[in-house]
Amino acid sequence: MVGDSRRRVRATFAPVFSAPGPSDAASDPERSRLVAAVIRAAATVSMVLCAIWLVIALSLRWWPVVAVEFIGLASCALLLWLVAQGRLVAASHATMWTLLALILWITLLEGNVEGRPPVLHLYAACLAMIGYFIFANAPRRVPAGYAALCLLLFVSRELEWLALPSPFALDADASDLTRHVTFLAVFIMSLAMAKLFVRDVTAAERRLADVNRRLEVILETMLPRSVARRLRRGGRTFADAFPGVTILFADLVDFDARTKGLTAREIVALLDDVFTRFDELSEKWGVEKIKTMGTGYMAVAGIPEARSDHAQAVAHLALEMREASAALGLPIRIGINSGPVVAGVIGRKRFIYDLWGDAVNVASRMESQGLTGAIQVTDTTKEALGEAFRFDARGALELKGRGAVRAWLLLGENVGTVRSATEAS
Amino acid sequence: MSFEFVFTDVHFHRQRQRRVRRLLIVCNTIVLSGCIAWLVFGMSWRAWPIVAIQVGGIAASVVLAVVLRRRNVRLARHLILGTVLALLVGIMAVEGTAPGHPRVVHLYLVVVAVAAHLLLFDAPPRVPAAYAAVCFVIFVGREFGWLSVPPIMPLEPDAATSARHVTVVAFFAILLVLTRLFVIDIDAAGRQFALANQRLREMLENMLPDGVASRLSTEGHGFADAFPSCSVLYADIVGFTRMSAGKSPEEIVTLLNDIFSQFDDLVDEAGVEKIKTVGDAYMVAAGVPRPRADHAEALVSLAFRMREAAGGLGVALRIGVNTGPLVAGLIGRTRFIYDLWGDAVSLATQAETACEPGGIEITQMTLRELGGRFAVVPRPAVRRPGGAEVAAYVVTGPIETR
Repeated sequence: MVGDSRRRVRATFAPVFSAPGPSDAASDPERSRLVAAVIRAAATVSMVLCAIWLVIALSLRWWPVVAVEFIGLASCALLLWLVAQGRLVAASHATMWTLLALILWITLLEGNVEGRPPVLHLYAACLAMIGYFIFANAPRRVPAGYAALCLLLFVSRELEWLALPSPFALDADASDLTRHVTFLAVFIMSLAMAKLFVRDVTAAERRLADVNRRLEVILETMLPRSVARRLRRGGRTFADAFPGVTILFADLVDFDARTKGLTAREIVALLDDVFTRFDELSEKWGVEKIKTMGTGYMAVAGIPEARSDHAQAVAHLALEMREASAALGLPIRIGINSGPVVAGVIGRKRFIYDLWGDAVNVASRMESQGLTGAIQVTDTTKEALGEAFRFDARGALELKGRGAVRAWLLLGENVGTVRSATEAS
Repeated sequence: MSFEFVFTDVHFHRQRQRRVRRLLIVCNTIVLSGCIAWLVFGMSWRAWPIVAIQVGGIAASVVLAVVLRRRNVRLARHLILGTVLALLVGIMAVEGTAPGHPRVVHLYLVVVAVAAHLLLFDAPPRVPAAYAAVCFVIFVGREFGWLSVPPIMPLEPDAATSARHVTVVAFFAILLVLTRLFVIDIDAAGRQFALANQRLREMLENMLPDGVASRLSTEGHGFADAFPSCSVLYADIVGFTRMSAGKSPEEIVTLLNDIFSQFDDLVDEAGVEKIKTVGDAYMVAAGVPRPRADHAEALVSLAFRMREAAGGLGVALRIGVNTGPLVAGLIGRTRFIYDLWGDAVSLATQAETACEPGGIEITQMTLRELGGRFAVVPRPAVRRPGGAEVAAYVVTGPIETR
């Protein structure tokens, strides 16, 4: 059980310290893997396109095209090698320049033929998109610079500032084929890029939701849930008065003597086992753990949400805590008192939800002046518990600065009575 | 304490929704002005098919404006995609399939398919995929001339060339703008992520000492270290119970908050560790979790400053300082506190309890660590939990030697 809870805590906290911060976004391994995959895919697709064109060019004996496609194939192979080496930034720039050179070269070969508008420069539009994708972690001027180059090439071809005679006299069929392939490729590549951007945004959103969920979990680990909610809304220190709560103090009796011979780490590991068990019991009975103090444990029912059965909940918790600690061979001393308190979060750092008031001091005295293995409660708590529990009279205790206070020892539940409202609710 | 617990993922989603709405308004304005301009041309040329398309476009655009005004972004984005698709089909019909005039208008379908992915960001992925499929079918149909119709209005060669230039350059520009919008979203998400993570770290740093929070990530809870030599300070407000008698509970907590917030600042300045508050008591340690040689001196100096600060608020303190070995760590699975265990802690409380109001009482172990830098006066001995007596002293002030 303790192992489970340790694993949970590790799982919650680990990403806080491993997740990329604002400055190390470039080292985000997930994103880098995606970029590497895209470059690999782009290089592979380009290799296929080059191969197709190589075949077409070979069959039509367009030797300059054959040469270009060979160079293209070689460049794509270089890209794949760079990615395989893990040199992603170099691979990214090499990708852009290879593709730019390729587009420039094929548009030069395409040339301008009367009555046949150029089409190959359309690839430059896709290249600009690719730049924005693979340079997602670089300063924005990097992809913007590539986009500007693409735009320049694109506009100069479209408006025929870069007009050249075509080195080939393409027949109408070949020209149509070029066009169809280009248009289809442009559609598919643009769509693929859009999908990648969507994936990027979705991944970013997922990480964002994850870090926020963790913030919530950690906050609720440190503070009661409703208090955490309130802090999240208001974000201010505050304190509230509660007219009726029940406070429990527990202390492991002679813990030092019983753990003689153990190392410091072993002692704390033992304490951790005991208190983790107490934490689970507190949760079970809906009682707020406030804090531990050395070998002491403090919990309270009736805050931050008021409840009428606060005394019953604490009585059940006390009985089960006594049982649990006895099972671990560590006798415990418990003191309980009911009354009004002020509860809140104060100070600027190491904040915890804490309680103040006379009722708290009396509860603490009930514990410190209690008996080993006993649960000592005040008159107030005994009255609140009513007939459902069995008690032994302890007599009057002299409390510092308060005079005599009548105390009782809580023995257990009255057999045969209906279980408390805690379970009914 | 003041934290801004804003849920950055919710914030980001709203930001995207707002951006989509703005994008829709911009698109609608472009569609409307384009339609009006073409309506004027169409009417002047008496090209009735064009007029009909533009009237349809204007009507759709007005409907869209109404929908947007009612903030129904869900409906509006389907409307704009539908309108643009219908307009494109109309324009392609007008463009027709004339021999020698390559078709280019269908390039806009690429833009529509990309824009669908941007606009329908929170819809199931199949919705933008369906738009993309429709665009692709029309695109392929047009490209291969399966959807060939005679041009309703053949353009002159010059006009056709200009129209082509406009279409192709606009295609590039719009695609680039859409890309930039994706990048803006990604950047915004990255910024929000950094912000959320930073808040998380700040919160943990507030709750736990340096280096302890990160151990939660490797060891879970229940870890501790032994420190052979460090110092513990325990400060208690004199007569707090009596003082609180005439005050409302809220006033008392406000007073405690004022005092403890000042102490928190002093602790920060001194570079020591606040451990916790216990009721009206305040506990500090030096030499944990990072060992330091001057731990006793740091705490005694802090004690003087705390006494001064409390005096400023009209409060007297009882302060006890002790030095010795202890164990520090974190236990339990909720309400984590970096806590201390050992005789050295109990002796610090003993020294505090035995102290005169307004005094700073130390044990002989602390005195030894101080190395004669403070003047002291002997006090009755305090007892260890085991029973042995330990000499105690009250510190009167620093000795100026340097």
